[in-house]
Amino acid sequence: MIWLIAANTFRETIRQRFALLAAIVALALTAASKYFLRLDLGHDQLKFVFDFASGAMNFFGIVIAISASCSILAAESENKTVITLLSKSVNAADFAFGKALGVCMALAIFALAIFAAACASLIISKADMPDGNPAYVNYAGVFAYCFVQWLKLCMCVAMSVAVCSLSRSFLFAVSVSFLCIFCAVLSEALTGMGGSSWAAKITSYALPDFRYLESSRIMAFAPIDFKMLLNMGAYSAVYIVCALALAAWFYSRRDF
Amino acid sequence: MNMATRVLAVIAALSIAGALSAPFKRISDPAELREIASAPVGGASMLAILGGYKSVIADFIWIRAYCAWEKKDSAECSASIDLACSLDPQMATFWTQGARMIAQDMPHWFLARLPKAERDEASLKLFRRKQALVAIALLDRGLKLNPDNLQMLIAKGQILISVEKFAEAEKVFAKAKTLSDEFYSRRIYASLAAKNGKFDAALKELEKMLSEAEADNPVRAALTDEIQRVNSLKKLSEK
Repeated sequence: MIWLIAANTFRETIRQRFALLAAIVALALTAASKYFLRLDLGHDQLKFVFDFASGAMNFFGIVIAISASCSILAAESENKTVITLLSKSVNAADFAFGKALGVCMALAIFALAIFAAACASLIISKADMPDGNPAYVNYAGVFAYCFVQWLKLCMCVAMSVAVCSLSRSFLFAVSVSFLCIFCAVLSEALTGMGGSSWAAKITSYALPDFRYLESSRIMAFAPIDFKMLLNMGAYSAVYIVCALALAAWFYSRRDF
Repeated sequence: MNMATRVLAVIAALSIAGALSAPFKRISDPAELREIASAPVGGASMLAILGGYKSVIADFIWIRAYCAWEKKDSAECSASIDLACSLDPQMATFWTQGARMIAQDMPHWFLARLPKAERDEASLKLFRRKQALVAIALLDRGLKLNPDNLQMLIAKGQILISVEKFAEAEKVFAKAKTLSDEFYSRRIYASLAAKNGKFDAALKELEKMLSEAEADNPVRAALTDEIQRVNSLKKLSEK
């Protein structure tokens, strides 16, 4: 049943105009990153180009992950189709996991497209460099980075599904989902600045640490650290499962 | 389900997730990430932390620092330098140019703000000393992340010389000369060692440089003069 829901959600996600537009802008920015090199004030060229892929993956990826999952789940609630679904042989866990899986599958395609665009930009930029430049790019490392960022986007999807399980409107779900991401970022920034308030400490402990996953970017210019990759995978999986289990529990007890 | 149950369920789920995921969170080199996280939480830094584009955002913030520099707006300039450095800590130019703006330009801006009667050499010296401390603190942050960066070490050494902290400057150039065979840092090191009374160390470095310099290198004459000068200083100190 999960696969059926996931396949249906995947189709719905790739048909969404906003998600498609955001993905196209992200891809265009990544592909055009070499053009933006003229804005550069002296960075390592390849790192500057890679930064565009990283930005597209993170910024547009998070926007797509939250907007797509919220709009799909909010539509189910607003159109009352969720009542029909949950009253049949579909249980709440199948519904929550299936919906999240569908959006994550669409995001995997987005991540692969960004990876391809990033590799193309890096290859072109490297070819334009003078001979003898010792610049090194690990394309498998770029893939590993994209994979970790995709896991991060899956965490965002899981968080949005959990928020949607509590909300009745699209606007509320989107706002609270973005707020959760901002809280995670803010708490990390506060603890990074030496913030010692209990609120900052608890928030940084409980909410996912996106900075941790961001450290995978070093693999793009160095050999892949498989232990690090496994740790990151396990770290993301824990949050994804917990958030989706919470969403399933809320859906199972919700009065529509 | 009431609101209290919902809130408790969310807190419980997040706490479980935090506890279960903690063993997997092993940051190998968190220094740079901590530097990025410590950036002031403004719109740009939020976008940078959240969504990459750090290099290009840091560039724009650096341009803002230059605009503030042109207007001699010290507060805006310092804040922009700090933010650009935090967003892109690998960019040595931000640290070195920023430190030079703080240490060498800002004292003159502060002096110009004083009433005409108070604008004297003593006030300028005071501002220079104060700003040098700020600039060195900035460079130390950069050096913590890039400990073997020659540009940053040279900038730090030059700022220390400008405020006559020759002993500290000597230590900085002693490290700089180990990172590069170029004569620049080695000559300054020798000159500082001589200034601090370490004539033998200065002579050793100068003679080594002289032996390495090619026969047609114009720097040979300057090195010979410097050796003579240090030798005469050494003789004077022995008397």
